[in-house]
Amino acid sequence: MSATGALRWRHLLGIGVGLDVLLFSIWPIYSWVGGVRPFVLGMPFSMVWLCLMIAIVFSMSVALFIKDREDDERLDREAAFRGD
Amino acid sequence: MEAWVIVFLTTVAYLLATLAIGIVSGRRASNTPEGFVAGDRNLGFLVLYFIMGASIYSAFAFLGAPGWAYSRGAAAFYIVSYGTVGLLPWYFLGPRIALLGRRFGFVTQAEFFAHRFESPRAIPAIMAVVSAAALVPYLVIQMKGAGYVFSVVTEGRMPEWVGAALAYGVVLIYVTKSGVLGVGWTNTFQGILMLGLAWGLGLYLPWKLHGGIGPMFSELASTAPEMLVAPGLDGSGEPWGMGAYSSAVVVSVLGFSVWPHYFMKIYAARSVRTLKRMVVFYPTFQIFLIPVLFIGFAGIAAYPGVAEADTILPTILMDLDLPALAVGLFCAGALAASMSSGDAILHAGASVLVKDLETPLRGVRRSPASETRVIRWTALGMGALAYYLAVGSEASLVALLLMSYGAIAQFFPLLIAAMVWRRATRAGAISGLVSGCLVALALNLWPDLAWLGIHPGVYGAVVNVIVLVVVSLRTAPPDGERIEPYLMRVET
Repeated sequence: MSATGALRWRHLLGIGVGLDVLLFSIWPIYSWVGGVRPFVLGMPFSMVWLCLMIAIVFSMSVALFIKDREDDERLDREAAFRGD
Repeated sequence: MEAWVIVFLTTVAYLLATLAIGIVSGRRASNTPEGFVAGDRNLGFLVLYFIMGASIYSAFAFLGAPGWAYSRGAAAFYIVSYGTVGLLPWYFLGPRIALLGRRFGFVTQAEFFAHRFESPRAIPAIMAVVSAAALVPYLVIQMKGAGYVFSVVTEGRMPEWVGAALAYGVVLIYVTKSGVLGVGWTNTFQGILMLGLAWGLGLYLPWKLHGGIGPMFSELASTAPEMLVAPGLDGSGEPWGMGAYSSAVVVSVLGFSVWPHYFMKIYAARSVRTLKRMVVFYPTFQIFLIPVLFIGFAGIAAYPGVAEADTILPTILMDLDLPALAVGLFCAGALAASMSSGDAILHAGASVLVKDLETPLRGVRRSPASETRVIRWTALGMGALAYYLAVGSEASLVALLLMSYGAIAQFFPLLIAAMVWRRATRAGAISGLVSGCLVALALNLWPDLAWLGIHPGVYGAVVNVIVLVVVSLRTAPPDGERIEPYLMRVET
């Protein structure tokens, strides 16, 4: 969100990553990768895959969060108590 | 001292600590709906993070999730899956919602939609009825869980109705006294307790029973590989369909960001930055769910044939001959799971019933202080009703709860339409919402009609979107200037 409250292109990219992660977690992709092997850290791959999804979402949102800092702080300073 | 006495005293100590935190935390809140419901829009990261996290760690996560892993294997992964992206919409839409909340004084979810769609009565009333139909059974299940824990703790000496009354007596005191601040600070305490226990038990039990997580899963891979292959088994022990699994994930993702007791917390954030930070760190709670699932998997080979899957964790603990203090802490953790969800539901449910149903329909005007008083009394009434249903009735709540999931998910298309589609009108919103809920309800009642076992909420959402678009295009567009602040734009 920019200082005027609009989304930036990187946010559309972030939304795309979120949608992809959702698609990767359901049929048909999850039925291809949701098997037992290979084991990673002792866990079956069906479980490892979901951990990977969490890691992707987390890294993506951390990256956005860092990038958004300036915009957000300006928004908080200027608009927080009177809408946008 | 007998073991059960130590267990019981540990549990009571937890209850007293919760009560103290709950009462003290509310002292700074103003005596207005804004203070009681939205914490004067001043919640910081820690409290917000734990409110949201502890709400997902309900009695279901603590007892039900190991039960699912135990009886249905990989089917339980859907719980991890939906929470991974479920809250992401808040990152992009949340700041705008929070700022509009400040500007127009919203404290409930429906107030946002009522204003956007110029529907002061119909939309809030529909949403309040759907919300109450979802929240009351949810609360009842949490209460039953609390009663069950006490009955286990005292080895049957304390009946479930006394245990439920004790735990929820404490909840009612801090919810009515301190509002969202009571919910927030107790959830922080309860959240830390639960996370510690989840990790402790989730790593200890596989090690104790199988020699570690790796050996446990290797053993399962050779003896019961069907438990580890997605999407696991269905309720009757047959392989679960990928369509049913996927649609359960999709409906839960749709519903996650619009559950009324979650959505209201957007308004409570201190700043845009705080809200976003909470969303960013939210997936860490999903990581915390993984050890809870280990517990269920650990039980498969070691304790075959436990008929009631939800009791697998207490069954293992009682059998292992652990020190009484450890069992006491587990019981406190299970109670924390029940109470930290129950308190948020009670608080939100009462706020919604008063702000979105009673006040607009009766057209009453009250001072902020008297409105807060009415919300407090409503919380008491709702607690009493849920208690009666928990101990005094045999109604099938799980069925009602499952039905309500499909209905809550219908709020999501409305949210997106409200914020990205200029042309969405009041008539479109109301007819989309109503038809989506009716389709979800009908397919719940006649599940044979749901093709491929796909969740009724998905069919509801499809109908919802179609009706919303068609009716909106056939009715006069809303006043552009008035809805301008709601619409998200993209800036290059």
